[in-house]
Amino acid sequence: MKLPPSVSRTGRALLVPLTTVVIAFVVAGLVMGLTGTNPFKTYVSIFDGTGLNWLFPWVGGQTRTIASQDLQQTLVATAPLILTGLAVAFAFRAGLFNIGAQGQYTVGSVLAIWVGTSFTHMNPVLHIVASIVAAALIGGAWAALAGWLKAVVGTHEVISTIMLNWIAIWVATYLFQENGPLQGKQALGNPVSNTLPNNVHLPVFWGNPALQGLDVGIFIGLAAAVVFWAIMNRSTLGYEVRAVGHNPDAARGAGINVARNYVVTMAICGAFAGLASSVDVLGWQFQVSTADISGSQVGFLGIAVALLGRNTAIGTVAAALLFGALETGTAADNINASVINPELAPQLTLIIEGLVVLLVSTDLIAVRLLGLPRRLGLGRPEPGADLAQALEPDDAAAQAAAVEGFDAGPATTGL
Amino acid sequence: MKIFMRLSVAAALVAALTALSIGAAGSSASTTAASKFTLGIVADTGGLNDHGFNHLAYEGQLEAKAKLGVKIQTLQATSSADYVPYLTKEAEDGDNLVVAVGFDFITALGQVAKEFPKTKFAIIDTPADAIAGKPKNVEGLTFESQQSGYLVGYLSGLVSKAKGYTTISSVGGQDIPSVESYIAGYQAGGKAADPSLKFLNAYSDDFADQAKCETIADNQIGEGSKIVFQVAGGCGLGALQAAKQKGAYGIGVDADQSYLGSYILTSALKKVDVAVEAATASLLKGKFDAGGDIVNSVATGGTGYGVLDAEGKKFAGQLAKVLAEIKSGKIKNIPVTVK
Amino acid sequence: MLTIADRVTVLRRGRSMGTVPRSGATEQSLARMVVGRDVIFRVEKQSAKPAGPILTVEDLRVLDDRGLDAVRGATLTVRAGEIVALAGVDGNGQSELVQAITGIRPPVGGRIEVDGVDVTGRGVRAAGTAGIAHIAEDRHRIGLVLPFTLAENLALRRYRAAPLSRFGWLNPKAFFTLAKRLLGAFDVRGGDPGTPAAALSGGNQQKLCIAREIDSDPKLLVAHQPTRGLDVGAIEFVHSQLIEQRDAGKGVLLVSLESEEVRSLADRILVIYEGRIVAEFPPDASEEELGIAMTGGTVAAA
Repeated sequence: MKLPPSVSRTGRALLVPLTTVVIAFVVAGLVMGLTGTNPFKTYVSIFDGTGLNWLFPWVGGQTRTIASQDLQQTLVATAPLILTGLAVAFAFRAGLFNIGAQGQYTVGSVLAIWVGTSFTHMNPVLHIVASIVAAALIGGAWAALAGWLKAVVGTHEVISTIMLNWIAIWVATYLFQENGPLQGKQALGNPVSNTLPNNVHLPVFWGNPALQGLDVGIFIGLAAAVVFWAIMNRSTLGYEVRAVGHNPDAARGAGINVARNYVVTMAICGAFAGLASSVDVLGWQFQVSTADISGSQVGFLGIAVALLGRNTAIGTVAAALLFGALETGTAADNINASVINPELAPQLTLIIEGLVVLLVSTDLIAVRLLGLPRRLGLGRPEPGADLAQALEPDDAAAQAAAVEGFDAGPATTGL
Repeated sequence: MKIFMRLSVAAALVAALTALSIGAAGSSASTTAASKFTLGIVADTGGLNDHGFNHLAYEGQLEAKAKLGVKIQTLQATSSADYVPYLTKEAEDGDNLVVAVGFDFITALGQVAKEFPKTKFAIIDTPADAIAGKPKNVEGLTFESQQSGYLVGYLSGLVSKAKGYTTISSVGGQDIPSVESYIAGYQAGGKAADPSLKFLNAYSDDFADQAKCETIADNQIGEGSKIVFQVAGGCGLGALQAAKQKGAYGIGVDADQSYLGSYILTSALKKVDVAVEAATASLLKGKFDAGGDIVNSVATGGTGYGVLDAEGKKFAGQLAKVLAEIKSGKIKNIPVTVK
Repeated sequence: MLTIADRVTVLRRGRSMGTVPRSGATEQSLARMVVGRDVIFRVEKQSAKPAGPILTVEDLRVLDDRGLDAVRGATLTVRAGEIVALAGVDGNGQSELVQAITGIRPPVGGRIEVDGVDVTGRGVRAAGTAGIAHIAEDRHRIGLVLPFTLAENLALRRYRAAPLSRFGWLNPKAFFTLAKRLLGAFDVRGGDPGTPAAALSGGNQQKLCIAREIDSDPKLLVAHQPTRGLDVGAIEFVHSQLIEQRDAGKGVLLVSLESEEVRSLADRILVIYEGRIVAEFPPDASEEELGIAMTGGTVAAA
């Protein structure tokens, strides 16, 4: 199948992720159908559960109230996913596979809760900022370690970030467990941190602050996406990152310090992941337990978000919203129990997420179904090879594309 | 299967209580008709199949539905981000009692309870005053686990005396009150049955890694221990494994672990299911311990021992007598700290 | 082609320029069809007017990727206004020598000076600042970032400085302006500033590299196999550019495996063998003389 030339560049860039999502939903629907659940009713129930029906003006009354609460939860879940998605996407653009977002998120959680529950005499606004900055810095440092290992001794970042994940998870578990140095004073033998004082919570601007209303974390996520875009497409650093990502030899030949670039890139990735943790800790979590540390998946989900979002800022935001909505829509309190067993609904989210990763990472849709070139015809497969740019350019977009065109690129995972 | 077996003594007791409570319901103004009563449970991220508190709480909920005739609502969290919305959902749906399973809910429950002052909340194995702000619509469901420890310790002492064992041991997950009370009771019970008995005890500082507890138990058995009591959750299963391999007896904890094999002498129980059901029954009668704790003990059927193996059955009569003595207060002041 | 094919069809700009039987085809006639006019295979040029030395390499020692000696004490000089060709069989240290001169690979010994400035092991940026431009041997691997647009590729050498960037922030308009100018000046066809470099033909990709490097107004142009894989029209273009640079008073170091190219372009020919400069010839040296020197023979050592 060859696309007609009338399909615009943007249209082409959207084609792969949209097809991916549609296929994932269809396959998950087939699974439901085969196991005796009505997929159409289920999807309607999930959609209503996401709260996105709040956007429809004809939804009113009690339904609208519930929808607004659900939408708040969807956006609460979306904010950290944007940030971990960016943490993975930024690395992909530099040709690195950051599997370590979970570990970077974890060390961020530790520092966010520690700073947030210490220094109680600080000005609350400064306290919040300090807590967020601390989480971003430690996340950045943690990830930079993997970049440094790659730059100096050539350790593959996939290996080092996985190992750093485990180190982070076990160190954090140690810190909060019984008799651990950061176990809360009121924890009564339970493996949980101190509880964040009320004045160090992120402000809630929609909904009830006591009932996990929507906090400003979503704006931190969106702002980070803008920063991501600006760095990637409008800064010399981003230009270097993309050059290294596409072709490290050419980058080196042009005088770019590739080793330094790896360290800086990972540090930025880690900062995004650290921010994600602070948004959670200060936004709704208010405590960190060992169960939170071992149970959190938000860093790993960031990989799926980045893949589906094709490593662009806007794509990552959209993919994070999709995954955040799925999570909320399939949550046990939202799903219509007469349509699907609420215990099974969350698995549906996992099925869809898994299919998305599989389809995107294998290039199945791009290569087999849409007939797009796999990579740019060269022998060396590059992680983050730029599929969109292999497409014929759209003449109308010529001038803008001179620089706008920077922003594209699905990652083929190098694994 | 094992769930139903475990309910042996306690279930009968509670059933009797329940029949009383239902009978009394109609006559009191502060009571609620069971058919209009909804018992809600929010399980933590461990899931309903965790072989632990979530599962037991769910069993208690099902028992309450079957025996008390209440309606139930169960929400299983997949992430701690679900805690507040799920508690909120059950409160908004008008559930009469919302049970949060475990300490992980401390913060979330503190937030939600304040927003729904008319809804009653309970939290498992956690004292109510641990909740920030100490809200009056929360009660803790706590357990006198030293009683369970005493009972299995007493049985161990009887078995030791009969078989000529000199040493028995325990493996704790960590030196914390909820673990220590089991072990303190175990040693007190063992001494009561066999004053010459020696006790070994060690902590693994871990509740998950089976290998650690297995190593500790191996050492204890090497030093002559013939019975190993595990108080270390998943890690403790390793201690039981060591007992099995070295031909020693094992004693399970919290839930009935007799399913592991015939070498399990018995189990020291923390009956979350009974506690949930009992709390429901109390509230149906209008009784709620605002801001305090419902202490589950042998008297309420909340603590006790599990299925006895062939060796243990020989002493079933003596053990039942001790249980009755604890219940009657004849045996009291069981220590909660290890000397 | 002429020995295998029965008929030859020539394509130019997407159109067939005609099909001729082998019997009626000569190299000259086919070349004319390919580029649309006569191609001068013999490069016409004035005799060189060399000035002072631009590049001085003394006793340079460089290791290859495996850590083995690749360049073992090479000494050479390139003067302003001359083309010095480095001839040799592939794998005799040419790549490592070029990488050391252009700053990509730090040498382990010796000295490199550009117009009196020591750039030994100082890196690509220092080499560029000192006046070295580099047409890389492999435009796909080193010369270009293929998924980058033409504008982005043309900016590779100078994105760090105004007007392309200020305080670390890029100026897209300046990218576009630069690209428009260079694409026009060097007649790069097949795309506009927003086209990915991968979409261009090999010849146009090489023009892109040359445009970028020459536009930096270097003192020394290092051209490493600049015509590899190009069609005749593009080869002619590359050759004329090299000569133009020489005539403009720049030093040109041409590294080539094509003895015809070497002999037609060079003002002096150096032969590299096993990492050392083993012989120097005038441009009218015979293929045989060169061949013997390139394979380590000592007969013709100058």
